Amino acid sequence: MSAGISNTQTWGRLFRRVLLPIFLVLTLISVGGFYYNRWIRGYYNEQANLETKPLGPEFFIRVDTNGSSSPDEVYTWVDYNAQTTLMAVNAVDMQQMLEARGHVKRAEITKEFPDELRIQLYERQPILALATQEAGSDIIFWGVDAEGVVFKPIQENFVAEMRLPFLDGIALDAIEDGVTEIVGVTSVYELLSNAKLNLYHYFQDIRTISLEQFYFGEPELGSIIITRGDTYKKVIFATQGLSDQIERFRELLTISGDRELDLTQEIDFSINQDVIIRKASEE
Amino acid sequence: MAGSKIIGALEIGTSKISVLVAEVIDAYRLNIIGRATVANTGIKKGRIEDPRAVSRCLHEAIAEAEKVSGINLKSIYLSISGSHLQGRKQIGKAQISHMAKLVTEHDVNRANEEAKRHAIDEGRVYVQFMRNPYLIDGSPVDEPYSCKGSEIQANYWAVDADEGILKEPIQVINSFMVKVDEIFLGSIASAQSVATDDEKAAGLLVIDIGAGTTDYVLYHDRYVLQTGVFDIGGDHITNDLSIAFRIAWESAENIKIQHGKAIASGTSSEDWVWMMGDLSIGDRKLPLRSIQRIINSRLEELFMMVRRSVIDVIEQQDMQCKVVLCGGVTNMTSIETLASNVLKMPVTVGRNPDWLIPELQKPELSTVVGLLQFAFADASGDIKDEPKSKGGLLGKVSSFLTR
Repeated sequence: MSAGISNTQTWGRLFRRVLLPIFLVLTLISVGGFYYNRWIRGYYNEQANLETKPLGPEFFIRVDTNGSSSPDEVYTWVDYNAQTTLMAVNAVDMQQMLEARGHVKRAEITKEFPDELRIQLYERQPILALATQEAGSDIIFWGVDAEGVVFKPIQENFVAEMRLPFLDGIALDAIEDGVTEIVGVTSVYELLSNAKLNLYHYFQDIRTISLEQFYFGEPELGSIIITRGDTYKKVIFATQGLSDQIERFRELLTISGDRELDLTQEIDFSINQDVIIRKASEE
Repeated sequence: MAGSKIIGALEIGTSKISVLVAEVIDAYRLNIIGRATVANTGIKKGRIEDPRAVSRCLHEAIAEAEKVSGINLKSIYLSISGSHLQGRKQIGKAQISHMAKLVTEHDVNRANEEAKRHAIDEGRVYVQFMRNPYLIDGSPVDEPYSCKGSEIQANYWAVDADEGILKEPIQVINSFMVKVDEIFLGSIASAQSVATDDEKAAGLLVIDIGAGTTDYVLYHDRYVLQTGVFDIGGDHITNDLSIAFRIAWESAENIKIQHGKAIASGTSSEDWVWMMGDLSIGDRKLPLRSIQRIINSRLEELFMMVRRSVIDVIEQQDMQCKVVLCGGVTNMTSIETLASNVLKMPVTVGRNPDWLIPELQKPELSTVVGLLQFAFADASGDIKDEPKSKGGLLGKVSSFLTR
C-alpha cells in the first residue's frame, strides 16, 4: 500500500514539475507562432497589408557637385534617413528640397535599384561676394553669380581663397536667399574681366578689387570700389542706376588707359553732376 | 543547413507565379529545396492591375515554397517585364591621366561614372546597367587596366523602369516581410538559363514569349547589345481565338494548348476540332486550319516586330546571329520553324540546364531558373570572399595562437 501511495505522489510530482511546464511552454510556442504568422507575417489574412512600408536593402547616396557643398550638407538638406529604402524615397520631393536652396541652380536625382541614389548638383558659381552686416553681428558674405542671383552665405575663407571681389552697400532689405537679382552685377563682372585683359597695367590683380560702403558723410551716396592698384584707389558708385555708372566707368577706364592718367585716384559717380575725378595731388 | 546560405527567385508572370528556394552549399554547389508554381490572376501585360489578387496568389506560392523547403524566405531575386522598361546605350569618356598614358582604376571609374550620370525622366529608376567593352582611343578592350592610350570610353546598355509600376510588385512582396535583393530583366534571366557563354559570344538573340509579354535580349561577344519588351504574348493568341470563334476565353486557351500550331500546314479544310460545350450551348466544331492561321498571323507579327527592333544592330555588328526561344508559348508546335522563316536566322527552342529535375526544365520556367543562377553566382561570390573560419576547439586554439 505504501509503495502505491509513493508511486502516485511520484507521478503527481512528475506531472507538476516536468510534464505541465513542458505542456505550457509548447502551448505558448504554438499560440505565439500562430499569431506571429497571422499578424506579423501577414499569413492567414485574406488580403495582405499593402500599406506596409517597402522593405529593401539600405541605400547609399552618391553626391556629385560642381560647387563647394559637402555630402554631409546635402544629406541634411534632403533629410536623409538611413533606415529608409530606395523605393521609399520620393525623388521629386528631394529635388524640390535641393532646388529650394538658393545656391542650387539645378538638381538631378537618379535612382539605381537596389541601393544607389545619385544626386547631381549644379551649384551657382560665385563671381562676387556680397557683404552685409547688421549691428552687433559679424559680416555675412553672400555669393552672387554671373546672373546676379544672390545665394547662400559663403565662408569668409572661401572669399579669400578664391580672391572674390566683394560688394558692400547694396540695399540690404531686398536680399533674400536665392531670390534677389542684382541688376548690373553681370556688367560689373564683364567690366572687371575686360579690365583685367585690357587695362592690366592699372589693375594688376583685378580680382582683389573690393566695393565698400561709403559711410562717411552721407550714407546714401552709394558704394565705392577700392582698388588695390596704384590708380583708382576709390571708385564711388551711387546706389541707383548701377549699370549706367558701370558703363561710364568702362568709358573712363578706356580714356584713362589711353591717356595713362596714372595719378587719378578717385572717381565719383554718386554726384549728380558729371564724374568727378580727383587726382592724388588734390587729396 | 546550418551555416549554408538560402537564396530565392521569384517570377511574377501574367499567367503564373513561380518561386524557387535553394540552399547554397558552397561556392560550386546548389541544392534546390523548395519550388512552387501557382496560377496568377491580376496581371495584364506585365503590370499589376489587381494587387489583392496578385497578393493572394503570391502568398500561396511563397507559403508553398516555404512549406516544401521548411524555411522562411527573407529575400528574393525578382524578374520584371513590361513595356515600361526602356533601354538605351550610354557612354562616358575620360582622358587618361597617367603620365605614361596607362589606364588606371581612377580613369576607368571616371568613365564609368560619366556613363551612368545621364539623367533620366522624372518618375523613372535605373534597374540594370550592362557593361559593354571599353574603348581605348576607339579600339574595344575587355579589360582596360594598363592599356595605353589617351582616352577611355565606357559603354553601357542601361535599362530604366517606371518607378510607380516597379513599386507595385515590390510592395506586394514586401507585405510578406520578404525583401527584394535584386531585380533582373526577364529576358536576361531567361538567357542565363537557356544559353551558354559560347553562344552569347558568337551572337545570340534570346526571345522569351510569355503569356502577357515578349522579352528579347541580343548578345554579342558575351555583352548585352540590346534588350526590349513587347506587350504581346500567348494571351493575345487566346484572345484572338476567343473573338474569332466567339467562344469563352478558357475554351480558347484549351484549344490553343491542345490544337495550336504555329504554321498552318498539313491540315485541310475538312479538319475540324470539337469543342465540348455545356448543356446550354452544346458541342461545337471549329475549323482547325482557321485556328492555326490565327495563331500563325499573331506569332508572325510578333517575330516581325522583334526582327525590326534588332536588325539594325545585327547588321551594324555584322553578326552571324542565332536565336533561342523560351517561355510558355514555345511549347507550341512548329514555332521554331515559323521564327526561323520570319527572323531569317537559325532558331532553336531553349532548354534549361540538364542538372535540373525534369519538372524544372520546362521552357516557361527559364526565367525563374535563370534568376536563381544569378542569385547563386552572387551568393557563391560572397562565400568565396568570406575568410574561412576554423571551427572546433582546435581551430579556436589555433586562431588564438596565431593571433
